[in-house]
Amino acid sequence: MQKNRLAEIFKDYPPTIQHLLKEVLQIEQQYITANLNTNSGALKEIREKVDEIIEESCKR
Amino acid sequence: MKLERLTLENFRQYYGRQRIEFSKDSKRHVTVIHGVNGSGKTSMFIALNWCLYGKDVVENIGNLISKEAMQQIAPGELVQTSVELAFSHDEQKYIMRRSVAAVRQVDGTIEPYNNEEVIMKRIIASGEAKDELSPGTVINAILPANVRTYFLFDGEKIDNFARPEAVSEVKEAIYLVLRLEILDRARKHLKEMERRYLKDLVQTSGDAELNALEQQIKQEEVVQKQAETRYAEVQREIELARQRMTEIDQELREKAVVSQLQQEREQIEASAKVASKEQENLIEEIQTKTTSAYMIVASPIIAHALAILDDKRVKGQIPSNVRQQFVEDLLQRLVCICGRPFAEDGSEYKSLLTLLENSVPRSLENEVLDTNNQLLVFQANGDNRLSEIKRLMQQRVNVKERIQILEARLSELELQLEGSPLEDVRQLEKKRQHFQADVESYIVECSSLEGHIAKANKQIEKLTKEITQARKSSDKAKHLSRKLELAQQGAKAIDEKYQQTADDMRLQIEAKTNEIFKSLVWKDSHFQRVGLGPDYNLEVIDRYGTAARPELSAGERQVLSLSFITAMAQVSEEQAPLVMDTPFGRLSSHHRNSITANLPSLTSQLILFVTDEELRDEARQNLEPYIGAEYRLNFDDATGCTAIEEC
Repeated sequence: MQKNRLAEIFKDYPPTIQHLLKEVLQIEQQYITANLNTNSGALKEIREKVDEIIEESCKR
Repeated sequence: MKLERLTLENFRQYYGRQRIEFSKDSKRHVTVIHGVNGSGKTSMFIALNWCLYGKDVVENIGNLISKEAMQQIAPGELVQTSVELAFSHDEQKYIMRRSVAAVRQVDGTIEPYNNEEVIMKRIIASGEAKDELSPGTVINAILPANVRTYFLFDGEKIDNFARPEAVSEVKEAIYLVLRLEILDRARKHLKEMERRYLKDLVQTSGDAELNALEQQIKQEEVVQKQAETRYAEVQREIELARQRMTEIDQELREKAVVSQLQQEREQIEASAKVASKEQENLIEEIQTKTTSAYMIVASPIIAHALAILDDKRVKGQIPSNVRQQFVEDLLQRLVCICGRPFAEDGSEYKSLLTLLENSVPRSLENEVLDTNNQLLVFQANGDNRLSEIKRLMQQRVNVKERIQILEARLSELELQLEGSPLEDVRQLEKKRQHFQADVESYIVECSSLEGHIAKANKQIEKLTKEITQARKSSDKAKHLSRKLELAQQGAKAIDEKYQQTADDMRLQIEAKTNEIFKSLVWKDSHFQRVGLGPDYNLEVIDRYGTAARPELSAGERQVLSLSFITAMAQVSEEQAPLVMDTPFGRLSSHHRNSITANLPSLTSQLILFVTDEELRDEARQNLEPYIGAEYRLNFDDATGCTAIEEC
């Protein structure tokens, strides 16, 4: 499955969840691509970004 | 990703600068690089991997720098090795160059000069080259390092996935190539957020606390209202009782026999009221005056300080008898005030020095005098305050005595009225005393109620503050609950879809592997199908319906493995070339022929590093219509170098 189409598997979920997962998957992809998926500092950054995405989703 | 050009410079046996142009023709998309064993096929394959991913990623890379190039340089000179790869991806053109340099030492040894250096340029439409600041990230986005071996693969390891113990490798390949890793990590991080929100939520008071506080404040408000209602009632009762007492007083005044007694009582009560007020005022004044009682407490210390200063004054030390400046002038002029000169070693000079030591500076003398004056003022104020308090205390004693006398007289009058020979007078006095007792009792109750009301007010004020804070916490808790809910729903959605997605992908790969395997294997009617079960065991089922993988020949295992790899590349939709180093070395002609007949249709770019034996007769004929570029690697035994020749 192509990386940009991974989010499509959630198309039956409510729009907020779809959006949330699309954003989270995108962040994870970025960190894997930048080879930072095992870096501890980067893991903290990812968690902060996931928190921001959830925060943003709350407003939707 | 489409590879366009590879340039090698002093890379292993490739001395100097040599280049290969890969076929860019969409129909003739196969590039073949021939060479005998040891001619440099694997070196070129390694060069390609090294350029893209570097030494840290490509294992067992060995020495990269051409030995011939090292021989050619003088001590102190540098030799540079580089690999440059031009490729296109998503309609963008890139050039990537990785290099490393070494220097020849005086003793002839070669030492590294620098670490790997990597440059990537993106060629834009105008032909201008733009720097890509993070080449590793760009490459990982195009073809991630951890999946590269499924696209750039070594023919020697081609049967890896068909080995019985390869379950975990098959599973990992699907996990990485099909991006299940992204889902897995997203799920992990959402679950971590769930735990964090839950922890924060436990620490944040929510609606339960707010409800409890609101309940408490309601109770306090009930208590406060009850107390206020009762207070108003008691005030009315006092008023009523006093009114009744006034009426009784009026009646008593009208009775000639006791009229005088009653009038006297009223006068005494009025005087007692005035005296009580006077007493209250005095108490208040005394309290105010005693707040500055420290002056009185400090009085003995001030007196002691003044005594010390007086003692010094008596001894002539303050102020000093002689001014310091005056003595200094005499010592400087060496002439007495009488005009008589004196010598520096004389007794007059020594006496003046002693005088100078005992004198104090003018500024200090002034400060001491100021302090002395302030202490005197302070002492006077303290004395005044003390006598004032004493006077007020005496006044209070006097007023108290006056009140006592008035109260005693009132008691006498009450007794007289109580003992009146007239029944109605006695009755009236009794009622009056009854109302008086009521008033006194009500006053005590009022005092108690005032305390209750004040306490309730204070409690309500405190609870109001707590409720304001709890409302804020409740809002925070609601927000946290919403975040928790979203994190849970997100993680749950991944949970629900993860297995389904993994199964879908597995089944797609299974179907594709089956299709490719059946087209490549020459005994296609002997094998019924290829299975990839939930345990990720790659299995071949024969015509009898039994698992036949253990019985597969080495060639058939390679075909199975190749089928799996190409199936995965197709399902993943990664746009990557298939680069194969000696893929047919261990295959029989049957398999070579079927693979070469089918392989070009499985990928958009195929680059083959082969020996002449691998690609001959029918296999060669099968590939012929697809070959767009062909090279031969000529190894020169005399120099140990390989030259690339275009065929």
